[in-house]
Amino acid sequence: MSKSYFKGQRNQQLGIALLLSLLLGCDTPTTKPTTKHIRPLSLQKNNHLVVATSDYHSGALVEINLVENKTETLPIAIYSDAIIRNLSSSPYFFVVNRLGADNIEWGNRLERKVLGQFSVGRQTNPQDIMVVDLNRAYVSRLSSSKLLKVNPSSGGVVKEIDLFANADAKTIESTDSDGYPEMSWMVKWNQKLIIALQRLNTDEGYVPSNKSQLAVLNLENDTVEKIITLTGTNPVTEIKIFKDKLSVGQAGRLNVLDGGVELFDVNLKSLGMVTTEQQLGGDIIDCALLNDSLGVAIIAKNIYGANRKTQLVVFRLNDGEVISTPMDPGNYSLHQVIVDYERKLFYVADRDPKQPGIWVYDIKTLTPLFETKFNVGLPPYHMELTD
Amino acid sequence: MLRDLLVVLLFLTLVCNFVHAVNEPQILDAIEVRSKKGYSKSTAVSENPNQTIFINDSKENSFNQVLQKTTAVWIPPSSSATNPSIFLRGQVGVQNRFFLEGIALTDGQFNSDHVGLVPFQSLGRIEIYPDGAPVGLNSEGLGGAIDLHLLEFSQSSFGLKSGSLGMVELQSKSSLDRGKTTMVITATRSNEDFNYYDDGGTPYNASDDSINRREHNRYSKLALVPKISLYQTDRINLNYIGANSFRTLQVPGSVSIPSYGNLKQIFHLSAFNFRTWLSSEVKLQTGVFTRLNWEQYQGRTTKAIRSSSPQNESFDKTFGFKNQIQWFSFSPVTLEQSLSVIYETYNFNEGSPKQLSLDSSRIDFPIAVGASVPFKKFWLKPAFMGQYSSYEGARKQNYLLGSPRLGLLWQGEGIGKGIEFEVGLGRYFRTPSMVELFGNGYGLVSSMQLLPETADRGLISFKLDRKINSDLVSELKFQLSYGLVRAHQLIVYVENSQVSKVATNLGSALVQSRDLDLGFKVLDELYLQTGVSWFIGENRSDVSYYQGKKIPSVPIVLVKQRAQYPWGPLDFNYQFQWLGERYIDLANLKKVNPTTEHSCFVSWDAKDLGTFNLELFNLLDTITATSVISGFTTFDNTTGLLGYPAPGRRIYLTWQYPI
Repeated sequence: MSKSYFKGQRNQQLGIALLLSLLLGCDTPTTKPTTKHIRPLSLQKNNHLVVATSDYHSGALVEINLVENKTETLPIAIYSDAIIRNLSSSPYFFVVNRLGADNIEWGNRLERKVLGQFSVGRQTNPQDIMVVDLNRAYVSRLSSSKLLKVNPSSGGVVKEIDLFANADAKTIESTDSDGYPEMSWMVKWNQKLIIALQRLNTDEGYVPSNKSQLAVLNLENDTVEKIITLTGTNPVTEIKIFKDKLSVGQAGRLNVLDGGVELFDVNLKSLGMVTTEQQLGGDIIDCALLNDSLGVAIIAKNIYGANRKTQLVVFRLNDGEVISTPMDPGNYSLHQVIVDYERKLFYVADRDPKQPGIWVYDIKTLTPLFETKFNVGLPPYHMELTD
Repeated sequence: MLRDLLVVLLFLTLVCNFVHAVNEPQILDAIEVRSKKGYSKSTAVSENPNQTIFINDSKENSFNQVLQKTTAVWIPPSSSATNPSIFLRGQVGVQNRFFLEGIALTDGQFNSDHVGLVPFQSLGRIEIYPDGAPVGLNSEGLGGAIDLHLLEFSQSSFGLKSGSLGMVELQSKSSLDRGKTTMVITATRSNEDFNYYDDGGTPYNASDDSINRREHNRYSKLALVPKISLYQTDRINLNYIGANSFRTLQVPGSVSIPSYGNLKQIFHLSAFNFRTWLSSEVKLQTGVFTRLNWEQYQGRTTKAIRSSSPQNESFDKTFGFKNQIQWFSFSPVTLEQSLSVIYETYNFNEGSPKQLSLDSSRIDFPIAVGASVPFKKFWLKPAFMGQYSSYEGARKQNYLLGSPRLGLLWQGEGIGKGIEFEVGLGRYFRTPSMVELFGNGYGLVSSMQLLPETADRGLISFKLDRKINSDLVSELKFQLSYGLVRAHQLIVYVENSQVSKVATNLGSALVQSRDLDLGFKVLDELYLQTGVSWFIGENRSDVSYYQGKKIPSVPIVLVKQRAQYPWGPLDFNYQFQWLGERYIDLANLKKVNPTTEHSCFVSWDAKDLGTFNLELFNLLDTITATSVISGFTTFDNTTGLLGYPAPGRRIYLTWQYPI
């Protein structure tokens, strides 16, 4: 296979590898943030937060035990541009290793073991995976016009799905001028797969084209039921579910306040922009609904300037106005926010250049639950709650 | 084919013109500065120890071949034969400075690449300062320094080099005007594409692994290096040196994202050096120089990576004045003073049509004083260099920085003859270069907030160099040195996307180096040399996830062995390099296990037929190593640096024919 001159040292290297894995396991200090509010966390759903971390050169997978407030770097190699997904009610995790690695890696988190890895096509830049079960998953790829259906356990590609095969050519343009619809985030919703189509013009420096869309795929027959045009453009956030609503954050053009947060009802009918970038005061990086009356967003200000920065803002759903700015770190570091509705908490990934970590916020008080962040080693890039 | 033929014809025409102009070759005596102790250095009161390598152009044909002779220099296997990456005492290329006859070849950017601007064939000797540029060079810099010196005189010759990776090089050396002018011209073409081990992007899945061709490394270069003695008497020497390089080269992306682009570069350096003895004990060296570097990059987009402005152009213009005075009139004390004024402008345009245009300039006033003072049996060498730097234009900033240094030298006499003991302490600095601040458009992006970096350094060195009266061993050389560097606001290049890097202030770092070098001549013929280096580089950055980690890309242990055996008209050289494990990322999640590299060189002096030189690099064709990523052991193609795979076995044959 390859030319190596160290075959005789294989056992020694395995020994070194084991030793290194132990060292690395111990490398990220076990963190117990200082408790500010005494608030016992009982065993519930979402006991773990799994985090893909990256400094854009190296990547690592970190697990935070939310019951014991402990972090652990898993002995699992991931790419420096990766996102994490978990198969609900199972120990299986799926890592989407994006542009440069262009593969899916999956394994058993409890066993700390990778079970498989397969390419989804070099330079196709996979963005997200939605796993139905161990034999069926869908992969969106930014640099491909087709959705990929795969069998994770066998590592085989089942088929490529052309989202626009049955679309009405008169009303729906399948792609923009670069030839790709820029499929990105996906979510499963009532036996349907909803795929964000960013429709960026990569030839012009990834600027949004005339419109962005959501494609709705019927998971029973892999056919596209409809394509919804968004109110704004450039859906950059994950498509997030709260009760019977979906939210999609749209950034539009960067450094231009032309986006907002759009809500959809259970029938995927648009409820319009619940807030706008004008109201939020910056470009949307991420957002989520906290409850029936409030939403939270990470916004970026002055993206191209030397003093660019991010802020965490909380807005009202009824009028979209900002009511609070729980975090203003003064630098460009806040990256992702996810909500734990079971515990009534939300987690904020802070890629602070010197002390990165994950903040835990109380939805009720909009203040940090702990005085310090969870130290996850490298800056957190993508996190997901799991059991 | 026709184009190749034209190049050859043009080349031969140029060569023949110069050859005809040669009349009576005459070796000129270079004005040599000698301190009262009798040892010779280009900077007589240098507070930093140096090593001088004289190049035997009939036996040595590349930087790789020559620089590996010293333990303090390490050239990683990923280096190409023409543009080597050079590490000095464990410090990466960006920290080290490269000079041509005392004039900085570039400011801090991919320095070692710019060594390739000066053809190896034009060099007579290389001075290596592994522990810092001496104040005599009057230049900032945190790492070591390499000062290239051109041939004083050369036998006119024509040469042809060819070999692996499609490399063809035509070489000519001409001595004109009774040896007052030396002209070296080389024309090189190579594709440098090589096979590498591709894991398909899936290290956990071996089923899609394959050996692939690493593409987009093609380059062509025409270099012209004149050295002209304009006026020379016993006391005065006025000369001109020039370095001209015209290159077109492909700049490959990383293995996983084969985006690439074509770079055109025109580099020109001109310097007039004037040296005279103002009195029998005061020497003046003064000169003016200009350095121009124009680069145009045209990116080639792939489906995966697109850019709205793949075309960039930069033009760096530098003008400088250097002045150095050495006083030998206070014997035994020697004094040295140097002063420079360097003005640099940098223009960077992005996009076609122009989308972004940056104009900036800087002016530097470095001033340095040094002395060599006997104290009992030691020589004390205090020195100080100060620099005022002022940036104008896209970035406005002023800096005033100082570099105090103290050297101490003891040289044995009588029974201790041949023993030398040196200690050096100092504080060094480097201001951000224009390229680091404003980017170069093909991999390095702008970093306007960059601060100067500084370092405190200490060195202890013990040397033994003795002739031995023994039938078995006739010569013994031994050197042991320990260096400690504590850097602050260290400038490192880190990835900020899949296809770009940015210069950033890392914070602090501590590097300890230990070098052991042992060489001896056996049976009057066979020369054996063993060098061992240990590096302990600790990242003391205030970035939490880098703190306490090892400095990447530097092997923790490095072992080099060399054997040289002259046999009649043949000369055999063998080099072995064992590179210990090293991390390839700042976070220390990726570790490459040890690798070895064997190389050998054979030269043959065929008298009337000229000389032939055979170079074989990486004899065992090592292109992978095992590596450990987050505890998982896999094969890795990154035996080179920063994701760049190492080329395998390479063979080159050079023929030089004296005219």
